[in-house]
Amino acid sequence: MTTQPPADVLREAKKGSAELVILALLEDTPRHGYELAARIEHDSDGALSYNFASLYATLYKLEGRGWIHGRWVEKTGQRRRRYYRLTAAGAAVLGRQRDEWKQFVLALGRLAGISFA
Amino acid sequence: MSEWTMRVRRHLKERGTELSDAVIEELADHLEDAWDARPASAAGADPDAFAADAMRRADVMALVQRAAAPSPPAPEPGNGSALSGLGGELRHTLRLLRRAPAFTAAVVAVLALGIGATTTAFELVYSALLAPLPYPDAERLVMVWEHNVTRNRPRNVISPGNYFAWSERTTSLESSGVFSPTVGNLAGDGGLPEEIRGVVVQPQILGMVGARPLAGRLFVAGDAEPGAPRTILISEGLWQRRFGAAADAVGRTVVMNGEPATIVGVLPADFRLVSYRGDFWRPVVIPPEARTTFRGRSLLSIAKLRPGIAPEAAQQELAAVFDGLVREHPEFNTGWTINVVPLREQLTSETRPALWVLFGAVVAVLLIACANVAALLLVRATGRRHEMAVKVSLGARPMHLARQLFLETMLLVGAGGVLGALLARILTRVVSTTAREAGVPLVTDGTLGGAALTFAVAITAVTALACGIGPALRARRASVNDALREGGRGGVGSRQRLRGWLVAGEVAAAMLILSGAALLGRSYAALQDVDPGFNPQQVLTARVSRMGTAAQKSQVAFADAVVARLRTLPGVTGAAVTSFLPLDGNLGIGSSFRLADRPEPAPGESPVADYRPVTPGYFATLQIPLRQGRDFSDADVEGRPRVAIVNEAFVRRLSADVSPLGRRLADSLGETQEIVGVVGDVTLAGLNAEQRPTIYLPLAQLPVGAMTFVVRTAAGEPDALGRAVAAVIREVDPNQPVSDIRPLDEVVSRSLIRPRVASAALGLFAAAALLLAAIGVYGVVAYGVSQRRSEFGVRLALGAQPGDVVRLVLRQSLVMVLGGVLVGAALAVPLSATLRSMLFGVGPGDPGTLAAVAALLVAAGLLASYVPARRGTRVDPVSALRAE
Repeated sequence: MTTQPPADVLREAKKGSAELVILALLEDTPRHGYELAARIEHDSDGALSYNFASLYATLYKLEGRGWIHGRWVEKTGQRRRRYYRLTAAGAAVLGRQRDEWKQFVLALGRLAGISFA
Repeated sequence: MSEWTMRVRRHLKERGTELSDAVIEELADHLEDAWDARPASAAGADPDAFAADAMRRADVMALVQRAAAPSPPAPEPGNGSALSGLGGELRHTLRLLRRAPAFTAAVVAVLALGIGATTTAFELVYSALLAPLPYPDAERLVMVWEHNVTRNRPRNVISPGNYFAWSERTTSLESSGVFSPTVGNLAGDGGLPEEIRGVVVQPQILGMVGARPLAGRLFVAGDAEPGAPRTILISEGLWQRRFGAAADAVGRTVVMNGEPATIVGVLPADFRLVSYRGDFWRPVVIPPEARTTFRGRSLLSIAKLRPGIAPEAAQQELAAVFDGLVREHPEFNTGWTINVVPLREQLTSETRPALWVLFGAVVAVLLIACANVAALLLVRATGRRHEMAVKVSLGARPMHLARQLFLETMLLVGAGGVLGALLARILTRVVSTTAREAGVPLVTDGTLGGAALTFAVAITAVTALACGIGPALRARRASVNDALREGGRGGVGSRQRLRGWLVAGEVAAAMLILSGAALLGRSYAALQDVDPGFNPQQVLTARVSRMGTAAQKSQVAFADAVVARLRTLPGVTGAAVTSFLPLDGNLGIGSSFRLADRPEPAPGESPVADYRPVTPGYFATLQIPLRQGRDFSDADVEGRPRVAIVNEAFVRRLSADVSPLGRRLADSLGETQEIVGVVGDVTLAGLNAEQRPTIYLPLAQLPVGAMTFVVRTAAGEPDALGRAVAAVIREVDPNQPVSDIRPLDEVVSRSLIRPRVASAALGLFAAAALLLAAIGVYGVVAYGVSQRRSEFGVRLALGAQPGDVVRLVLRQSLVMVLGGVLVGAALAVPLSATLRSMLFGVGPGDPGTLAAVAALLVAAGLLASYVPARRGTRVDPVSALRAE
């Protein structure tokens, strides 16, 4: 990986980060799609934002892998919404991906001179 | 439906895409939430425009792919519905196969041919060599022969005197009996007189082999007493053909060989004694004096061992008993012993080598077919490598992919197996019908037995494993890595090497079959080149048997009358009679003799000659050259001095120093004959048999009952004469049946039926092997060239000539082909030794033959490589590089 140009790394990183971010946001509490999008945009101060269709594509992919689980919930006085929660398998993946991500960021830092001191 | 849902739907419709209701609802929710949370600056915006704008920017296609074909949830280990998964995979695999009809058809066809041919060969081998024999306690049944040690004839017919002596003294046998094939003239039932084949048997034999009559009874001991009323059993076939399956046929009296005989029973159509089938069975009547006569051997003997006695033990015990007979009758038995042959060996020893060779060849063809299929599957797997890797990256597990590939192979091989079994059914019927018409003994009745079907299933399973394991193993190793390295060449090299090995193996197997076929082909050609010693062209033959006392007494007069009339037929240039036709399989009379003026040789050392009664004009009719002396004349009849004509082999054997003319022969019956002529050698037993001393006697001085008329015509088809000859015979004796009216050249060519069938069958398989191997070479080279397009492009761009590229490709395929040829040749030398008994005029492992076959294979391999190699030179360097 260290032999690839940084531009590629970034593209890969952004692709990979979406899954990580979604899993992380679902770690503590179930959320619906719009809530996830809003949190991502808000928490990253707009640095990370996703086309909303891509967001759902990613959600279905994660659900297909059994990492998250979505179900329709009707709360009183609200519209029916689909809430996603992290599964046990998803939690395991999240733990693993966090480790990988750390290593990736370290590598990125060495390459690009970025440091998270 | 909410208005937001409507907005999403409207937009999807404009884009011509569809999504499931749940997804649409979720998107609508999202848009509504976003709308509700819109910044104050957009307070007055239009919700339709807002939705349209969001949807336009949305990457709907990603969603379509994901939502339309969601990857199935990865099953937890040990928690998947294997069955429902299998059903889905089956449908998926069938879809994939339907999408590649050429590939599917090629694989199924190759497999069906391979499995069909192998199953057919198995049915032949099984029914002939392995299937249970149709007799109770068959493993205890043996044939007992006399074995002439000095003349190396281990299966000689036996003498009645010896038989009665050893059958009474032995302790190894529970029961035994003698029998002999015969022919009979059937008349007296209103039909035309007819010559039918039959067997004379001692009554106890039929019970011993478990014969059960369809109607009536078997023989009883009394039927074989001298003077008992004559009885016969008839076959189911004769019963239907001649008696219309009449219920009252049993009990009828017919005229058999001129004497009345009563039908006492009907035997089922499939009944045979050892290999002998008969349309009639007659009890053998052995006069009391025969029990003490030690002169002449003429009978066959079958026996049943006592329970617990092995054939080897019986052999030892009977040989000891026979030693006593040698001491008692040294003049007759010196040089002889006894030979106990288990029934199965008796039935199969003649065809066994040919059948195993055939089976081996077919299995080799199947192996080549498998190698080709495996290579095809590898190519397909290579083509789908990227697809596989993408699937892995999308979460498919490699094991799952391996299973899918294996399922594909199973489907292909299964289809091949089913078609192959159907093909085998047809082939078995065709082969058994053809063989029966050609007179080649096969045990199969033309239906595919349970054992053969089991074999077909087993071989299909083995084939599936052999063909499918390679690609499946490779799929298991598919990785995401492959997907990311798009256009990468990883794994191609080793795969190509594996295919190279497969093809080299095919070439080796083809080399084996081709050398076997070439050796048999050369043997057959050598047999055809053998000069039989007579000219079979333009000669018609017709056989009659003078059976019964009256007919035998009038034999000479009958023969003279018929020959005289035959000579007057238009176009006939010669006519005569011989008792035994050369090359028709009937060896006739063999007997010992000596020169009367020489001392009697020691017991067992008398020379043996074939005795052939003939009429004057026989040698001229068959154009057998008269070397010395004279032909028989009409004056050489009973009551006149006895005369003989000998062949050149006889002269070489006995009297190369002096002229044989005028010398006297003494035969084993105590008669003497003066040698009046010498004729050229004639092959009697077979074109590949050695020339044996032969003594011709005038039929008038030794009438033996059996006669074949030979008629030479000046021109035209001898067949046309057939009816005229039959008419002449009927004119002379209306009760005399005629059989086997056929041209002499047909008799000669029929004698070559076995080598012809063997070399043709092996030749057919060799052609298939050559073709399949060439296809294999072509496939591997064509694929290699397609993988190296850019390399060739670079070479050509750097100034290489097209010839250089062709040479490069040919050199590499030559290594592969030569490797296979060398391995094949190394195996062919020892394996061709199994053909030894079928070879004539060429040795096993003949270097010239092997070299020729090797050259043929190399040429075929180079040709199969040249076509794709030329294609490699037509690469446009620029486009090849751009593709990179």
